[in-house]
Amino acid sequence: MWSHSLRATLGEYGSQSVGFRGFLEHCIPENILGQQAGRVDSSQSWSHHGGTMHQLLELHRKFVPYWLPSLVLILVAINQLRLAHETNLSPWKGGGFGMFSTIDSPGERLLHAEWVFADSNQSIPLDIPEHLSADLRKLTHLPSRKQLQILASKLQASPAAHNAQAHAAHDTVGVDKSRATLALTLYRRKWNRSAHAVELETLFELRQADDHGE
Amino acid sequence: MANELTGDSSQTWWETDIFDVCCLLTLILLLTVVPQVWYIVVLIRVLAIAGLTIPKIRKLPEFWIAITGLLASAIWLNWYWLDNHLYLECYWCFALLLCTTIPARQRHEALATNGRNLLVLSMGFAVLWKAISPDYLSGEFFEFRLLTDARFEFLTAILTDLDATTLAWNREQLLSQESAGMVAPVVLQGQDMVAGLSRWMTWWTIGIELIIAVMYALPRWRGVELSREVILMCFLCTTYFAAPVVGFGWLLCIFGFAQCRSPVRRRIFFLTFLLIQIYAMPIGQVARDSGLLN
Repeated sequence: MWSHSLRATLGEYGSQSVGFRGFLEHCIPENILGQQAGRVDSSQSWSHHGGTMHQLLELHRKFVPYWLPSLVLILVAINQLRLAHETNLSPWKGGGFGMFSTIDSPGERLLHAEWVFADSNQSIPLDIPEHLSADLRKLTHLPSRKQLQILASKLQASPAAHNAQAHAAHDTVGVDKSRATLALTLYRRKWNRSAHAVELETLFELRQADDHGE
Repeated sequence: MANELTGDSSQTWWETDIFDVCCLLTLILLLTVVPQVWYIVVLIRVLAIAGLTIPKIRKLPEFWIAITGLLASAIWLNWYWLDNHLYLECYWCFALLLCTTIPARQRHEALATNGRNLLVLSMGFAVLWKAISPDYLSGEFFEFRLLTDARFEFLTAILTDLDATTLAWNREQLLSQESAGMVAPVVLQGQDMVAGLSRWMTWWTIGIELIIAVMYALPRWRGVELSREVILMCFLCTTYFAAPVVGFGWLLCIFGFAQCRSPVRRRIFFLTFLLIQIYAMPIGQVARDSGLLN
């Protein structure tokens, strides 16, 4: 068990590395460390440094097991509040406990993808392929223009998207495939209670010409 | 097993070794509620089964280092899409880890403090988010959810005059917005019928969360302890019936259990733990299939 080697290490460190030893003494329970491997009782080892180090060690022992998890929670939650306001992170996610507080959950964010043909002013809806589901998830949870561009580039490189484009061009007379544009729009749902209606609000939109056209 | 610390043979092990019972309940939670990343699911399950079957290892810091490390790594890599209760689960496992590093006689006290702190903070931040949200206090959030969310279907159907057919129609309307080019607003039916319930749910939810946060932040004054535990049980029994998020419910139950000093109320917390699992049944679907819902 690694605690045995740690114990030995503690003995070797002796009083040369007070901070590290103190940290390990805290991390490894007394019943594991015991009084072995030349380990001196912590109260004795600290005594020659005066009472201050001993008090610090005691404070450390009394604080860390009781308050450290809560401190981590506070830091993460404050950061999530900041991210939700500065970026478009969904309040439901990110460890800030904003679930069930707003309609704006990732499930209420929708991506519309389509090929738009400049010649005929027609558009063909495009399904996001399964292998891009992780990118789509990131876009709905933490949307940004950059993430939309990443998804657009991957989508343009995807054979499934090109098949859809080719079929659409074939089925439509007078369409120039080389002038197809990939249009991506990310919406979020808003509830308009006076109109009893669910509306879509645009979060980000992107139009990217097809680089692979013939 | 008799109580080894106090020598009181009238008390059973599960009434005295609260730390161990909390470890057991947490391991049961870990069997079912973990970040859905395949390697995390597999490794945590293996560890949880080992911890449940071998009492010695669940008191070792190495064991909780492994579990906390796996949970923390899953959060680190997938932080933007994981649910909040998975973060809370990780903090709790971290607390268990830290408790294994202190003498056994202090563990229950440290765990109780952690349970209380995490309860206060999670409720506190949930209240804060509801207070600053643009569409919560106005009642719009619950109005929208009651009209469209399948999880609330049973509640809506039994507490309002809205029938299941209308709710299904509303959901179909929303689905139509998912196709590219369909950007026109869709009108939902039944808003007037859920207005009262949504207003009531809005204030009930934020109110009870605020009360729990404040009551658990107070010292253990006379009367406070009993009141806050009853309120927490009330919250668990009502909220998770409406929105059965088993992981969150179980965690709050374990927090309540960890800091509870009354053996009777600890038993009730344990029963609530079981009840929350029962709530996970697809009640709405069963009621619809059996014809109870129109």
